[in-house]
Amino acid sequence: MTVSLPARRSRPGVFQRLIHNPLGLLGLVLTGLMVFLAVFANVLAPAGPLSQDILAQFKPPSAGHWLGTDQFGRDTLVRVIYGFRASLLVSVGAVLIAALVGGSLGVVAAYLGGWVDRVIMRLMDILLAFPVILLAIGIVAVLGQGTFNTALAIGIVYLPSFARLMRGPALTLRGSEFVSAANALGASGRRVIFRHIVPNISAVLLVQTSLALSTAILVEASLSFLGLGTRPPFPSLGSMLAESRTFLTLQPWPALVSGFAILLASLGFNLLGDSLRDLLDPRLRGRE
Amino acid sequence: MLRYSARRFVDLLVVLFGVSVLIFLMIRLIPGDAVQILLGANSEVTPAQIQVLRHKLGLDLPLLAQYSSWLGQTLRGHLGQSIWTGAPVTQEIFARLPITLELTVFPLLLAGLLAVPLGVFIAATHNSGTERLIRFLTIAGITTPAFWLGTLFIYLAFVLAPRWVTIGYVPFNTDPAGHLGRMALPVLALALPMLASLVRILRSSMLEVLNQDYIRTAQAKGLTRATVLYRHALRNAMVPFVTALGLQAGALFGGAIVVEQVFAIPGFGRLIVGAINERNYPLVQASILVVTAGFVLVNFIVDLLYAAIDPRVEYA
Repeated sequence: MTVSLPARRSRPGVFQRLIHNPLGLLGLVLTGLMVFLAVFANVLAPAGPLSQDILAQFKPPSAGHWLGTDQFGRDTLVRVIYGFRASLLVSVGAVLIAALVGGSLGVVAAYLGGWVDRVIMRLMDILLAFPVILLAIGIVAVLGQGTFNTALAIGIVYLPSFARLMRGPALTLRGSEFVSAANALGASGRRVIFRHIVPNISAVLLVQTSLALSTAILVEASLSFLGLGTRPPFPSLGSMLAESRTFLTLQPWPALVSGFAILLASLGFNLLGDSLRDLLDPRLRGRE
Repeated sequence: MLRYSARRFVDLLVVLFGVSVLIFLMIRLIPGDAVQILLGANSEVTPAQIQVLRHKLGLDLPLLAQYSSWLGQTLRGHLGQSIWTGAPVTQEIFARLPITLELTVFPLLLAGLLAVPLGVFIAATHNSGTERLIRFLTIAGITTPAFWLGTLFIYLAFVLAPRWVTIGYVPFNTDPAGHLGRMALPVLALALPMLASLVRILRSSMLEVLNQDYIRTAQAKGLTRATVLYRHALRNAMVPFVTALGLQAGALFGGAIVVEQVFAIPGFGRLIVGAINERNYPLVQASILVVTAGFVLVNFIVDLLYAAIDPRVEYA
């Protein structure tokens, strides 16, 4: 049976309001640009990030190489574009894992309550006790390096924030009348969770996803910078910065640009998440 | 207060127990045979050597027995031996830890001290015109990778002051000026993003406090603006701020691990990254255990201090 609810007024307006907010617009443009570069890297730079031109080592920016070249004559701009792809792939994967698994854990904890709730939330507390980078380093040490393992490591780090985020509203909703009504109508536990509880938390989830992406990009960059993330020569932004640091005084562009790209990527998602929070969560409006 | 402390103490024990189990499991969760992987670098490995190492690591016992003997050793301060040198891992950890702690404490102090006047000023001059700019600047600061900032500083120093030795490490005792000269840039690189994050927290808690009735009362009494801001508002706004300070210490330590690499500082970061590359798992395990347990204890003490200072905490 369907229950017709009054149409939610905020839904159609969110995008419009977002682009009328300068910081929200900036966040949207930055993230849009990044996704565009990551998706169309092959089209934009068909030669690829590994193509070398030994005769063009350490060239300053020019018409042919907008941001100059590195020690192997590889184009810095091309490498940054592919760096976005590598960084985004890991970060998006990590946040997806965290949101799906962590979020489910939170909802299940709230919905089942009792000892399940206590065990899950205790586990989350324990994960939170580790300094973020150290936990990620430890997990990579166990799993080994690589794109998927790095994503998994960062995903595990962010489980608690999603579990906690989803548990609170799920707990409130569990006691609400419309969920009781669904229960009374004989809806299964799974149906109540996915059809009634999750859609009501989606706004909060969207905000958290964007903010988590912002920090996941920084953690991924740190791991790659330490040589524990994606492996060279596959150029993730962090490993690119680490590699080009050795010839910093000879040719500063690759190191400075790749680090700035990390900043822009993280900034874009943070501005987007922050602006979305203002728009979607009226309780938080005016606060931070 | 006593009940609160007791409850927090139980929480502490549960978290420490969980942390110890996870770290204990680390070496056992390595896909495949950990001992094979450990010996992988050597070309001639005999089954006897594998047996010896397996026994040395205690991997030939039932899991529960392994854990209880490992925990017993750990509680007595025996955190294991380096696989390659056989030296106790605690030796190396405690030789490197002070360097990284210096890179955690000084940026935290610097950022904390600057954040208070800055956060109060920003909250006091709050208006819609500057709001956006402040928000942009703090977010940009928070999302700036400290290891990139450090790289930028090294380059700027190279261009502007080529004689300034910015990388490497000398102990304070042998060369105080050289030590401070080399630590200045990494401390600054770590402090600036932290400053942005602390200013943001203090600003929002100040704005919340400034909206409350007792602030209006204080203003109505004719108190000066400075008195209202610093004596009345800041005091209450400090509660979330100091909690954040404790939590950020862990993040800062993680940042310091990375920034050390930029400045070629032989601290904890180089130790743990080297240990991972050498597959020296007992060292990796012990390093993570020492640092995590340390931060858990620090945050526990901060919590208790709070309850002692602020009676409202108990009911939270």
